[in-house]
Amino acid sequence: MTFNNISFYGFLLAVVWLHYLLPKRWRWVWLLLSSLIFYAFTDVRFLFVLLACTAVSYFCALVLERNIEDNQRKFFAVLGVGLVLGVLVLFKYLDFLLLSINALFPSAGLHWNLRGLKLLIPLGISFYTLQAVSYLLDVYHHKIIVERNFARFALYMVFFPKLLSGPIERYESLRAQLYEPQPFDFERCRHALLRIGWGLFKKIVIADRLAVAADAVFSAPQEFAAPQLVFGVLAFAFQVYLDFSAYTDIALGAASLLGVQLSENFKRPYFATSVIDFWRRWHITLSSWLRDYVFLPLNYQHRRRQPRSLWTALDVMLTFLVSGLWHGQQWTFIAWGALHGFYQAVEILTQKSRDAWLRKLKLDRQSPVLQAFQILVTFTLVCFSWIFFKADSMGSALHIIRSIFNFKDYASLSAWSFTDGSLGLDAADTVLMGAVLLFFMLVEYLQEKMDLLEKLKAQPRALRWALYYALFFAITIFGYYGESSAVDFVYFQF
Amino acid sequence: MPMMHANPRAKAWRQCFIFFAILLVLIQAVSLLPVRRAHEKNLNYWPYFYRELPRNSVDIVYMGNSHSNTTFIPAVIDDLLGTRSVHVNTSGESIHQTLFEYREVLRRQQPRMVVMETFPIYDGLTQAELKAWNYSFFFAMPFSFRKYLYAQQFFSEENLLGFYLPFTLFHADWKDAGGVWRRTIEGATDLFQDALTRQPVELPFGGYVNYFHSLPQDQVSQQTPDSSQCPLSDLAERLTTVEEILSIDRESGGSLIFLESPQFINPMAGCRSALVTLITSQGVGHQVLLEGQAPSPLWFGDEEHLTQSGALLASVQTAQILSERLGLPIDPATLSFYQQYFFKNYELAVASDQLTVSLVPYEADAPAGLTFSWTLERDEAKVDEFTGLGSNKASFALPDQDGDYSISFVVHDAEQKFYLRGGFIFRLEGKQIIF
Repeated sequence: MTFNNISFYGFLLAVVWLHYLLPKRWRWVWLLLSSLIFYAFTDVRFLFVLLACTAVSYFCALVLERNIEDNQRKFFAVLGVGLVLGVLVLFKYLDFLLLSINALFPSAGLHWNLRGLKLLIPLGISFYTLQAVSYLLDVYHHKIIVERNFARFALYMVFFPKLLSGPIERYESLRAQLYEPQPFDFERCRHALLRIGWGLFKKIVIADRLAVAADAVFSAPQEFAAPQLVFGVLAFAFQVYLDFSAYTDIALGAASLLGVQLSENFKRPYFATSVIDFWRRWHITLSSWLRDYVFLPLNYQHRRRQPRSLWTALDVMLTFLVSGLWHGQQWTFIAWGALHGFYQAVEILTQKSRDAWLRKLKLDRQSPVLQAFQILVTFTLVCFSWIFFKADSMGSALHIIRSIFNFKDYASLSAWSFTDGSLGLDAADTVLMGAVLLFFMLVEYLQEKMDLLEKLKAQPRALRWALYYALFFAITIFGYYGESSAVDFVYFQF
Repeated sequence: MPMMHANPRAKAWRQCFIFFAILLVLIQAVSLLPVRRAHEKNLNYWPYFYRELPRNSVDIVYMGNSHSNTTFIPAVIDDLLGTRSVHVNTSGESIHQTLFEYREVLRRQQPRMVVMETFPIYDGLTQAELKAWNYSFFFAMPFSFRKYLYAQQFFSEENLLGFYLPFTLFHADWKDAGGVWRRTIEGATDLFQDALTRQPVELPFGGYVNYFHSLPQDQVSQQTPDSSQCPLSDLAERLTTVEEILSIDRESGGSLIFLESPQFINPMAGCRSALVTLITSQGVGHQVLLEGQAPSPLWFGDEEHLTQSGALLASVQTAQILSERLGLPIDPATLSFYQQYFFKNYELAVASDQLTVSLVPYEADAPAGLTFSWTLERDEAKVDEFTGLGSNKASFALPDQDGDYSISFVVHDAEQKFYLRGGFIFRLEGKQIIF
């Protein structure tokens, strides 16, 4: 049961309805039960893994709360984090590690062949393990009070709107909301439904079309010329953003219907003026998790080392290597993470000289021209990194990069063919995709400048309702579904 | 006196109700034409069944998919048995859909006999292949809990969207904006006129469909032996559904019979034994029509569907089978009447600048009392025609022009009680026939 299945909305309706029918003190129990049902319907095989991680975090946190010695506390913290991350490594990284070791053996003169377990990756494991780790470390550092009720703690872990692909929530932000439910509020529910509708529009109308072109290019890059490869890369850049942000919209909307405000995960990332800024706008809960639990501890360890900026840059690089590894068990993801780390390291190390140049050239930081230039450069750098994120292998990624810089291709007219079906989309789909993408970017631009939701609220009811109906029919008529198979959310693979 | 302020909560609920009510109305309005189109694509079987056919008014119901509606001619069977019969089909349906339709047939009609053609058991559109017309049955069902229960049980999750939002069945048509506009105008005009004139839903010929053109003669050499292997990977699942149908039949007093329409090429022959074992073990009849007779290209429109020539033979045999089961005698004169229309093959040849076509009867003098009208056409324009009493053979001057030709025939008796229609398609190149 995923967010683009009709059964999810039947389920959500039933959960919301019963939620508000029940007495307040029982609502959190209902949320727990429905979250477990949701996961069971989605992937019952791995419910035990989710519950095991929950149990380990719960019990280790209880021990941490006791009046024990510091090194014992440290032991249980390490044990808890180790067990939880161990589960993640077992299911997600073991085969990759063994494959990588196997690749090294011949160069060492050995001919072993370590066999992997070929385990399926439980849905949501990359997300709920990070939540468990954040809980344990926050308890260890006395930032939060431990939750003594196992069922209540389980609800924090398994709350279904965020279970499969985040946002990665901290315990403190959810505690009060989950156990002290909000009363039913029309305004909140109206915005929640609008948010869900907007998410479905982004996913079904735009992202799933972009996916066709991106998949066509990345599955057989050798068959495409440079302009088509660029088209495919751009298609993926927008697909991954629209897809993931759509999921987040639906997750936040579903949670909001139940009176729970989850954290925002995106803030118009393609309007970032630097890669550092990009990571303040992209997958915000992950980047803040990495900042708090990887970067800051590392940076603290190196606080006395000089030069400071160099060590900060190195810590950022290491953090983004971890990010790359978190995203997937392939060298391409590690390369993607390393590239982002490198970008930010360069930005950190060149910050002062760039500021000096701006002063020398008497350029105003707020100048629209400068900002547009910065946005364009950042977008280009990010798109370049997406090549590694999406490619099947390093070889494929490098082939795409080499081909994109084959400037002879750009002179050929046939290389600019995007609507002849070679990219999997006919002319009508391509034109529609371009049009709605432009519309979407316009909406993003306006949201960057103003609070669109407030503007919408101020409009007459007839206009608002007409927009809602238009959104509904746009999704159902222009949606890319039916004869073309439904495309899974991209971040489910993590 | 202080002013009464409207309760904001009640106002919000009211607005919410109005919003969704308008949305529902919009969905219904936008779905009107797609639903109509789904019905029309399925020849309006189900709207006729629910809106026009009075309850408990038929003796025999023919069920299945296109194999059924091209095999059984209700007019012929009813004339032979003195019954009233009708088709209720969904083109391409699988046995999983037949199950739900069968329940509804028994609920509204209680026929003396339900003739279920077997092809939905061997084939039929899977969930991934469902078309708009598969929804016609569910759309036509009156509003009830049962309707939604059946839909939930039958449709996959993806396909449920088409049930709840019928306009999404044709949602990809937005690419043909001109076509959508034209169809909308035409459909809206038809709807309006039907509403004004209160036109009833019609089911011509009791739902029988004439698969007009016969197979080319050279298909005979292409016929391959039926395979003894059953290619169905989900045969067990299909037989489970058949068991459920048999169970319903037992509970309703046992009025079911399975008849298998002959096929020119039958890749599913290897599956028959498992089905027959199941059916006959429950005491339900099963028979393959025209078994033992070498399939003639005249009788088939393609490898699977009978032309009217073949359907006539199958229908007479069906009447004979049902006559035994129902204890209804067949008038010999009526039987002879239809047997005079039996033809075992056709011939099409070129000789001496003449194009000759003939229908080969079983009995040499059978066609003597019948009038044959032959028409030669090229690209649907008439080139030549000939009509004669007893003229089961016709000759045309061989056309000079190469191209795609067709010959159609209409055969009728003196009282014009029954018409047999059919045709042959071929190409003429250099005064030679090429099929």
